[in-house]
Amino acid sequence: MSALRVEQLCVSLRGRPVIHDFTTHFARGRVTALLGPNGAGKTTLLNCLAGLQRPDSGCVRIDEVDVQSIDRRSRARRIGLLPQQGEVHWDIDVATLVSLGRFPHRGRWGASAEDHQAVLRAMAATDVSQFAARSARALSGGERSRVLLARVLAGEPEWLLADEPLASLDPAHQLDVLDRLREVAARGAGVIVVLHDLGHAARVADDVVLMREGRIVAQGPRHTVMEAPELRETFGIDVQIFNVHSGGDVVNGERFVVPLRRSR
Amino acid sequence: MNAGLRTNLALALGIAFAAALSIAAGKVWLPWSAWTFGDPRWLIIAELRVPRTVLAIVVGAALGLSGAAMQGYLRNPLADPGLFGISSGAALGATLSLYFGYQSSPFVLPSFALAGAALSMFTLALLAGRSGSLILFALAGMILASITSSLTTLTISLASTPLAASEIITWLMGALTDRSWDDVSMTLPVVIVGAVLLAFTARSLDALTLGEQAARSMGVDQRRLQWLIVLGVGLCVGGSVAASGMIGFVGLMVPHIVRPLVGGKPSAILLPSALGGALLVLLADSLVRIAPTVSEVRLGIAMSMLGGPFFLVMLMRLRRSLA
Repeated sequence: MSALRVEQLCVSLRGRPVIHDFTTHFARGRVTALLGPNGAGKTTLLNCLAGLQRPDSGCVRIDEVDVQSIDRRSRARRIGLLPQQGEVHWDIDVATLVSLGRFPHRGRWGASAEDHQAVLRAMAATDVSQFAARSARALSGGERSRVLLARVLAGEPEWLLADEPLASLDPAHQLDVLDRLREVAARGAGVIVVLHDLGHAARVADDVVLMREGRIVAQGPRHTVMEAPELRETFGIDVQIFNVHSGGDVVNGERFVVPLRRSR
Repeated sequence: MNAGLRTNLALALGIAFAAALSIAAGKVWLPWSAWTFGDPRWLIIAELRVPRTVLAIVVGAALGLSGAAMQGYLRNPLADPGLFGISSGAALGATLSLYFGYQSSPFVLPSFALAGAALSMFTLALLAGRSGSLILFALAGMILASITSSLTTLTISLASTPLAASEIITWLMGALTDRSWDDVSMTLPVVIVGAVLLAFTARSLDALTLGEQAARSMGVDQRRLQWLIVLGVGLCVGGSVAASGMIGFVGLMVPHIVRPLVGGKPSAILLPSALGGALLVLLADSLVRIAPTVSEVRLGIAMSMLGGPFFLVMLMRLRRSLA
């Protein structure tokens, strides 16, 4: 199975070390949540994974090839990045915005039928087809974040990196976006997502990487990692964990993580 | 027919009419009957009016296109090629050539202006550094613009005679009066090369709509884009200033006017902005000749008189949308 490997990665920004000796790997077909306090280096790690940030030492390999050595276009075709800030600078319609996702695929002479199909699929998958002709800047926050996700999906990347895609969304839209990410993973892509909500991470992610100050605190399948001692070490908080054994819509074995207080 | 094509065709048609007006208009009004080879007035057409008309089209297109590319690159609808410091660099070059009195050949002043633009371009690229960062780029451009304009003012104040000083000031106001085919042959190739470079930025500018990080993740090469913009705008603006002096506001106004017609996508406004710029400068240059003034109003001043109020209206609209 194709994998994204991070080997002894060290990165500093403006002379300040941000990521230290970071080694992990991500698998396709799974959703991996990156959790950690503000300033833990999560965004920098995503930028390294996408090949946008050159590490001081160590490397990121995609199928054993260093991402820094892959040319921009093929790298962009394989790795899609959904940045944290949902910037849309000009008044363009939703269909045009989503078709920007085909940027690394398009030839010099415009969009192919395949490009067009991919855009339609992405808009259908994120349920934004009905406002294809509307201005992207006139959408609500929830609609806009789905449109921006559609842009990344239109590129049909093998790896989808999403930086806090739930920020500023109401609970219904948060669940929507998480469902889409799960679907993307179910179709075989690797999804790496920065989350701040421990509850979502504990329910939705297959794997979890906990990081603090640029180092890994714990990593592995979610039920081995989302434990009170690891979360205390990562965030400095006490949590209450509820394991569900029966009832309602929750699947047996799911767990709920509720932050209680800062640990003393 | 889509909106872009319709707009471009309408603008091209407008240019054709405005070009005819520009050839006919002036101190001597040249009716259709004069437009024949044998007519004694043909000389005015072939040696004065046509080169002036061609130059107005070339300069207008270069300024409109540069404005559209710059706004797309800086993702700011208020960006103007003047911000880069390239036009003031070109003006400084031209001013120096007037200061030293090198007017023996018609090519001296434009060459100085182009050299000034080139020097500004490379200083800008050096100052902005290798990062390709937009904020550094905009700041470097503003600093460069203020340094070159103060050097231009210094040159004027050091001019040996009042006549030389007034000659410089008049030139700086910008005009297309008494231009010849020499000016066209100097400007046209420079502007064409610049325009081709800017055409290559089109798709990267679209990607930048989603911000720097997203654009890079889509495979945009920030440094290549920055070089294309610096060289493309430098050649277009440098070539224009060399031919006509400073003509402001075209690069600011035209992209604004065409944007509602063709949509906000940066690549879609490049061609309409070039055509719209050509049309605007052609019309303005014809109007300054038709206007019943004692002497011809300088084109640069006329454009500022149009551009100032335009800017003000835009600001009011912006205020309303922010309120």
